[in-house]
Amino acid sequence: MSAAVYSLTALCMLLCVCSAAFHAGGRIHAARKCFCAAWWAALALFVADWILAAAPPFGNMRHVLAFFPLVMAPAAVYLRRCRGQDLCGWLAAASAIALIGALCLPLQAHWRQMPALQSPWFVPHVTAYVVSYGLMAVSAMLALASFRGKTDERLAAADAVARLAFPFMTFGLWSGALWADAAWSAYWAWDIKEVWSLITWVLYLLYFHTHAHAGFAGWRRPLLLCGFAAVLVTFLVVNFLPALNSLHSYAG
Amino acid sequence: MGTAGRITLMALGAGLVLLLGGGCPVLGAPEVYRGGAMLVLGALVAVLGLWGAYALGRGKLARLVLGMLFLYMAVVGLVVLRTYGLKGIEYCMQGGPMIFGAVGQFCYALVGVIFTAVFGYLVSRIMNRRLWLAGLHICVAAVVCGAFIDYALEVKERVTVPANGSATIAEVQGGPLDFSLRVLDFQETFYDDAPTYSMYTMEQGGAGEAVPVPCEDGVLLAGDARVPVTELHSAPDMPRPFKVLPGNPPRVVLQNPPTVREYSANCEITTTHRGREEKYTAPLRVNEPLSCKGWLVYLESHGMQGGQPAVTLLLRRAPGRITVLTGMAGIIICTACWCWWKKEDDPA
Repeated sequence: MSAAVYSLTALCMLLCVCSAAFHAGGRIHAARKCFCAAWWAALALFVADWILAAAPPFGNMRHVLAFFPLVMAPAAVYLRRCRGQDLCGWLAAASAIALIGALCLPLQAHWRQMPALQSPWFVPHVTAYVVSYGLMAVSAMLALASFRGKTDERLAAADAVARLAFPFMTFGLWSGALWADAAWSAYWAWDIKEVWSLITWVLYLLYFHTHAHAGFAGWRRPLLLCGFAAVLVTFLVVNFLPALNSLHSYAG
Repeated sequence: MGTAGRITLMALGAGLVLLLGGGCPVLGAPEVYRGGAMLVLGALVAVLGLWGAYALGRGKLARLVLGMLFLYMAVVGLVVLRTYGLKGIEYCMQGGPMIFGAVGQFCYALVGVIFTAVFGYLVSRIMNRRLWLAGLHICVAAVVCGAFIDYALEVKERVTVPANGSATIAEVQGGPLDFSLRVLDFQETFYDDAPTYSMYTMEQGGAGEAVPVPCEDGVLLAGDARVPVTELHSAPDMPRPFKVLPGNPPRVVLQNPPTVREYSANCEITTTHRGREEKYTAPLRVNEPLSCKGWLVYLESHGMQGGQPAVTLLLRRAPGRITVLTGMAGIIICTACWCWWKKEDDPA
């Protein structure tokens, strides 16, 4: 079964890479088809992980990274149909990066939900964060790409993606607090993961505040990049630093 | 750019600096979060939130107030739906006579559905993107105000009581409770997994780090040694089966503890209502605190006390909690509506 999981991950990653490459080459239809196929592969991977874990597969970093393409493809459809932004290749590239990470991590299929994680908040909390982190990665990629031309167009796309992602991030942050109120007897414990989630949220809040003031237009791109840097610290550094004593250590 | 806008950006920037000061993974100083600077900043954020709401809702303040009121009612409907819906499902799963109780609970849940639908519709008619943004500012102020109330007035007390109903809690150090509570029993269930094993090297000052020991066909592969599982034995001072492997230093192979699936305790609560004593039992689980007379009771841990199984409960009274939780729910809803509302409607 472990070979099947890794094969599916590799297949999904290759399809995402192909989608990004087709999009970059201007073959939009082929890019969409590849991303659609990647979504089906990601769904099969999600089901396999669920069967192996006998619980929602959000027990470790590999599970979470493998979940990215499953939420990125619907986001691409939404952005194209409702916001007029065809960003399939960008979202596929972000998914491919997450899947490369998943391929580098041990299988850890055997996962048991500890009592505190057996909450109705668990799945929506994690899913909302995965969606928001994936989209914020795309937003940061677009902000970076705007240095190489098509500045206004790419910054507008980055803003559209950030606006789609921010409510998910907000839900993740505050639903975590609502859950903590029931599980840990405090809605806020100043745990390091909570603090970094709040730092990330405040950075994006600053980004949105600069929209109201034309004088701060030059701050938007750096703030998007700083926001994504904070996402990386929250998602990776805080989980992987062994010296940290965090209430969220089971999420490593 | 207005002065309030500049102050907002400066306050957010200052907040970031303080958060980074405490949250740096290596050199952080988390004590800053409970310091005076954070309190002042919190107060400033609340004032700016209210000011922002006023500035954004200027000319439409009545609509804003009405919209927030209806939003509150819609959220209350959701809470009613969730609370009574879950109880109904629980009664359904118990079967038998509890089916009648389940029908009653689902009727209450239906009230929640109607509340949410009616007030949700009214909110959608009243609000626009700008007013959602104003509402978001009000909710931020509500969260900060609730957090200040809890900072000043929250009471938390830990008590350890035997889990056989022999002791009653009727007061804590902070004063008497308005109810009494007994823990009748405590259950711990485990996942039905095959046992796993670890090896410890006995060093001066205690056991070394645990090394996982693989098991193949009933034989443990403990380094260079092959130990049949059947050779592990129990001893009064050892929690689980083990075997000492000779050598210098000696090593111990020990069965790992099973993985806990759930902790739960049955509690008996006695209250007085209009001079009459009322008694009921309720299950207490992780993630599901009991609520009684303004107090929340959490199941925190368990162990032995005087040779008897005992549980540690945390009793909490947080007067600002409802304000904070309502504010958080409001932040989630207002952010989603502000970011995803139709573009053609009154841009903010």
